[in-house]
Amino acid sequence: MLTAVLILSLLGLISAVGLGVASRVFYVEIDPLVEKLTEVLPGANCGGCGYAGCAGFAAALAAKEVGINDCSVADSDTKQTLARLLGVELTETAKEVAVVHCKFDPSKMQNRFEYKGVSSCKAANMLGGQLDCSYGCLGFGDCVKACNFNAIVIKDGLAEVIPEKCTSCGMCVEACPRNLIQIHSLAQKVLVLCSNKDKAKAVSSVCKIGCIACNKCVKACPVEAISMVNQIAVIDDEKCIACGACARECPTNCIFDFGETHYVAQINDKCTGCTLCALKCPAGAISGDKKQMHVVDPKKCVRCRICYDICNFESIELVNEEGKIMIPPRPKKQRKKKKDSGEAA
Amino acid sequence: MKTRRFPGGVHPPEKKLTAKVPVVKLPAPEEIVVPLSMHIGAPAKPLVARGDRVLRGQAIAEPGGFVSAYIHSPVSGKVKKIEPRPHPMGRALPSIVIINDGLDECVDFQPVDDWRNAEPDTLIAAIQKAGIVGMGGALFPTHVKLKPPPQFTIDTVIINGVECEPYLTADHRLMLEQPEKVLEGLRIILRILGLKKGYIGIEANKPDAIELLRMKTANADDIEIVDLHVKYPQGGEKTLIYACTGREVPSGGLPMNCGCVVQNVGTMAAICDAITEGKPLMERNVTVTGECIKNPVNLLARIGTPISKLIEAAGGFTETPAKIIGGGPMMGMTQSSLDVPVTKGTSGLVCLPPSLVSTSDPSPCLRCGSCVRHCPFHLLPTDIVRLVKAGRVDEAADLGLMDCCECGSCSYICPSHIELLQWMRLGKAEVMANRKKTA
Repeated sequence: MLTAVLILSLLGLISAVGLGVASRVFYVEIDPLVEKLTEVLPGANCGGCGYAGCAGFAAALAAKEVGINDCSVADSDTKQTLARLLGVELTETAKEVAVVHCKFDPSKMQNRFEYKGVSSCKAANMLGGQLDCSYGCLGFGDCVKACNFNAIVIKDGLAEVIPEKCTSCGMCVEACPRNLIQIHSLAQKVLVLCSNKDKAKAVSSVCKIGCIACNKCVKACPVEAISMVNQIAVIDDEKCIACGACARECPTNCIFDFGETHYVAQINDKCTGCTLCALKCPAGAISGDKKQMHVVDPKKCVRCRICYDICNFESIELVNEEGKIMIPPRPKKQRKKKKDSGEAA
Repeated sequence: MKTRRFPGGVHPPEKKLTAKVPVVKLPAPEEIVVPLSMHIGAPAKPLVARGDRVLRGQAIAEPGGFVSAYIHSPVSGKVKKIEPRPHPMGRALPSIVIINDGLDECVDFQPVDDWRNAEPDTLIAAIQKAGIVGMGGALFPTHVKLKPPPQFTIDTVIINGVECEPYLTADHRLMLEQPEKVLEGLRIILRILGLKKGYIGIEANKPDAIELLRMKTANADDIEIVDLHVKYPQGGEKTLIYACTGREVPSGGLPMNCGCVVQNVGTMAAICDAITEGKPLMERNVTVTGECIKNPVNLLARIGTPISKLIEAAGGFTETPAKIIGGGPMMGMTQSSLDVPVTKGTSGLVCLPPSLVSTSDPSPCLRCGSCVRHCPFHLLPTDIVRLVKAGRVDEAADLGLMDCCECGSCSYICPSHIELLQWMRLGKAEVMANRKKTA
């Protein structure tokens, strides 16, 4: 009896000493900051940041390899908390969303054949796709399956992103076999929603709202933000001022303007005839002699607001189709302020 | 008589409606559409431009890479334009459109003099110049197959006269009507590879062809006719090698890995034409058949003839078909347009009525194992597809996904109508894409 008790006590003692030594020698230091950061991060483990899950991102964050904004999923509250934990100041970035660059009219799009098989865009695309348009959205929802945030739905055979839910993680971009999805800033309101790289005749034979590469938008753009790449108009988000001139000019309406309504410029009697607006007008819509009141040709005006922004004399107002003044001239003081902020941006 | 066979496979109804119908020559249409992709590998590069006049047999496109082929004009006429046109593979692909002037003016065909004593390289060059590709449907450029890398020794040539696909009889009629060309073609191949003996494998459901070729080779000891069991996919390269020689092509390998070269009988006739007459590949036998066709026929059609003309020549439809398949019903592609042209690989057009086309949706797997029992390559389609569905293609590749020959026996036999073959193809495409990414 006594031997047993002694042996067991001895064994306990040896183990205790062993464990005690091991806990000192093999101690792994864990950064408490990483643990906290991991807790705060959204925990979606979407991989959008390029790290293996949120824990990997937290470690990179603590090591200052990445910035808070590299996590596209975190909302602003989470980001504030992260910034507080890291002791840095949060710089606001514009929210980004995925955009499906195809928006055909489901009632008019013809199918080349009835597809019966594996319900996946990839599989259908291997057979050339059931749509007449060989670039269009196939609608079997490979992007829906790839999205971890339920931010994509299929509506009338077309994939549609719900901007509020989208975290711009980019999983759908990879999943689409036709490369129709791109990430844009949420502020980017003018978008070309067509990806058909064919020539005009081939495009218009399959889809009435496809880009026919007519170059009208390229000419209409007052800031040269549009270029023709592979027979598709591509808008440079950095240069675009969202005037919507391209969308109005587009003959097939494949450029969509989701921004506010745009109005025609009109010059009132405060005009001093400085000719600045006439010089800067990209459409050549303003005419008038020096030191005489200038006139805007409403038919030519592309509603880009460039003249409105540069007028020094409170003489340009924006009117709607009936001639009603919708936006009064920009006051001098405010204009200067705007100019400063414009330069800063 | 004992016939040779391979393990697995299925036995669909044969339905050789046109086995006794002689081949009829189809007049050339007014407009010929010759796709630049009629072979495996890089698309050919056009040698002509819009407005050029071309002669029959003139090379109009040259190989765009090592694995690629010449393309010749099947008619004389004027090049209308070079633009994407509907293609049997699904999407529109660049094609040369030629307006036929009806004169059929030919270029001077230059045969190889005395091929029995010609150098193998001369013969291979002549075959390459004639734009010959594997006419069984795989469309692999023949000259590449005949020039195996030096580490492989070829000791067996097998000619594929199996035609295991239901409905098709194009090769069967060729063997009956032009047996000399097939035999001559085989002898040319034997000369090129420096071999003494070649085999012609024919399924036992073509006794007339077997008898005829046996008779023609009665006094020859360089060609042996092999009777094969009637089973699908007996005409697959690897199953044919196994049935004829008992050898297995190693996983991931080619027939040359086990010393074999397999060629289609149609290719043999084309090689014979190219060497003895100097004629490039410009036309081929096409079986137009199916329950929807009024008079099923075998046609000799120029490459580039729209399939609508072939159907017209067969008397048109008796009812609106639910499916028009280019090639055989087991491995062929369903066509979405009647403007699709005949290519070097179009062995048949099968027009099926709605009653014969399965429209049932897949139900869950019963784990019955039918697909496993019928797979000629001993794969586990059920497990592989499960992994592909889950996106675990690497594990599927470990289970032998890449050894699938896409014969479709699994899809044919599946009682749950699961699209096993399509999933396998999807998985294979994904594995290939991953390999390209990492390479």
